[in-house]
Amino acid sequence: MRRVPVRRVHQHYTHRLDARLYLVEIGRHLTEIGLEAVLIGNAAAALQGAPVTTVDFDFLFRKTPRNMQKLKALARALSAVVLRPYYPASDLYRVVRDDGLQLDFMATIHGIRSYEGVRDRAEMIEIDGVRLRVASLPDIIRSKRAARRPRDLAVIDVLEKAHEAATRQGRKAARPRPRK
Amino acid sequence: MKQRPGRAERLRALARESDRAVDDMIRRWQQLPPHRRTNFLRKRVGPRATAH
Repeated sequence: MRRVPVRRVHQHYTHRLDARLYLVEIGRHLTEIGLEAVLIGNAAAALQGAPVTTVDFDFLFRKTPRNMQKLKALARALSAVVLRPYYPASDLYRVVRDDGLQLDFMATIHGIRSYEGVRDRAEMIEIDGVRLRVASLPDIIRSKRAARRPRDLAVIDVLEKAHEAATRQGRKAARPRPRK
Repeated sequence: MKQRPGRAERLRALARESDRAVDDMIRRWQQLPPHRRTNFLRKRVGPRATAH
């Protein structure tokens, strides 16, 4: 059996864990193509201050004929392909690329009734000059609680603690400082 | 002489340590500005497995 040099193993497990370049690339193409989508799931939770990890980027979008065209344009721009859903009723469109980049575009998400509500509560986060629409922590928690998959339930506790900490921090920042 | 803590007390302390570690991790993560909270991606190492 061929031995892999230690240095290469080290790189294999540690490089490209930073999602910044992916987020910038995705955000730039979303803006150029004009596809409106809200980042949700663990990637959104991490940007909103919860220390969680993920292997993909989940987006909530409105499934319209125009947006489906834009989704295909996004895949082309990313040199990726759009996989059709295995269960067509799921409305899950997976954009995948050879280097492991995976974006899941969903028109329906557990616990979320309207796209507009999530979009209005979302926050615009700017990374290297690129603006991304990121779902709020309460919306992410709601969707994970409703999905009830073991991997969702496993992170709910951390998400709730992060939300409490962020709320406390926000209240503290908003409180006027006493004069000395 | 001080008595050695019992198993239940040690387990309670262990749970508190774990909670404290999570709170600390959240605090450190939230100290970063949103655009620097990007080190969250796990890398796929096989058809189903992931690392980190």
